[in-house]
Amino acid sequence: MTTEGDPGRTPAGTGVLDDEAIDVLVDAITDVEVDARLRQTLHTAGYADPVDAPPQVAYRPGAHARPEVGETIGPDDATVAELTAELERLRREKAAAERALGLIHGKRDQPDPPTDSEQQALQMLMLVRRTADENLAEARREADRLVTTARQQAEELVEEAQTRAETLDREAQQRYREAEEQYQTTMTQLVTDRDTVQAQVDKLRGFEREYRIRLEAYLEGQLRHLRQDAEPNRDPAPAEQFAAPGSTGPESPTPYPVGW
Amino acid sequence: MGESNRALARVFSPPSVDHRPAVPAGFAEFYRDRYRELIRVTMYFGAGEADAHDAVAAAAAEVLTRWDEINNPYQYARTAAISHFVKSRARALRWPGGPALRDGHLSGLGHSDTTAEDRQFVIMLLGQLPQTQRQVMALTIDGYGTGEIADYLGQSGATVLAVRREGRRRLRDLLESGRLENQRALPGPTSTAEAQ
Repeated sequence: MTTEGDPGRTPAGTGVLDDEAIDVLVDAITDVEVDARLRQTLHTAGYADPVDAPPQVAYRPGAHARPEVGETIGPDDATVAELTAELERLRREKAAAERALGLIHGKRDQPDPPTDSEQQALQMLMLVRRTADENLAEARREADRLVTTARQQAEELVEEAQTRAETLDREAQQRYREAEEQYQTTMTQLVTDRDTVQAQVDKLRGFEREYRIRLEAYLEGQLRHLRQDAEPNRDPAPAEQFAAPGSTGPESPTPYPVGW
Repeated sequence: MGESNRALARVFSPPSVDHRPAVPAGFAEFYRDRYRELIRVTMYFGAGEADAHDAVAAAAAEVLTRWDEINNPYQYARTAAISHFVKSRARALRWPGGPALRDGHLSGLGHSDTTAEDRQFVIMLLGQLPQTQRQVMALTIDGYGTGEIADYLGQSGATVLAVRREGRRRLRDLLESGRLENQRALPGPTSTAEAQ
């Protein structure tokens, strides 16, 4: 029922590839080739190119303005992810090509000479491997350039941010010192003013107390005069006993003008 | 022009106006994901590398035009790719025309889409194989891997590979002979549900 033969080798005389050889050929198909065939299919069918076709280089150093502080530095996350995926894809292709090449080399060690199809497969795989190596090297160079650019921009931004922060710190300290001096000056002036006003208040209270005493004495003296004028024959002695201490009596001059 | 100038040219070049219809959502991803598997299945069926690429391209174009109508694009594309391969081989070998499957000959090869006749002819081709080869090839067309087929049939992986290779050789001989041995439309080998 089955044809048992050397695995991975086209059975002699059949001209039919075995599964292993088919797998090698299929695994050697690169993503670039698949995309090219996709575009060809779409073009033939009259469709536009897919919008999500892998970009050649999404980030272009120098094509963007220098970012400000707080802005994303260098390529954005999507670009980095695309480049990373591209690198991984190229690594997979390279690994597949190397496996295929190793398989072909292994077959070539067999006693039978390689067939034409194997030679063609070998040539194709070598071409695929070379193309994959070139693409990988180019992607690495691009990635290195992007990383270097991003790192330089990051360093410049950090330096600028530090300078700006130091300047702001100095200005803040200067303003703090000025404000403190102004506060001390104002407080000293306010204390002085308070003491002055307090002294004036004390002085006015003393004057008011002395004036009240003198006014009381004056009014009592006027009362005595009134009583003496109303009762000229009475003994003035009882009235005098109510005279304020220090009072000079009715005949003494008033301490203040009457109309005052 | 240096690299930077080329980059600037790419950045500042005016956008081109494209009036062609947009690609249906998901088709590009489907194509990228399944292209290699379609090539693999078609080559397992006996196609050479170039024939496999052509057949898959035709199948992909067919899937693209019917994208909104197809529930399982991968399954449809597998069947369509194999049908296109069979039709291309028959056309290249100048099989005589005539009603489909009449007298065991393939006909109706002028159309580009996969029809029920094409599918029926693929089934008839498989029907020419011994049972084990037919089972292995049918399960392969249904998208099963070698390990899964080996488990299902209770055979080793190496046996499955050998059976498939022999089935491939017999299919090629059948296609090159240009004449089927009989017309019986055998049931089941292309249907996974029936195989189960």
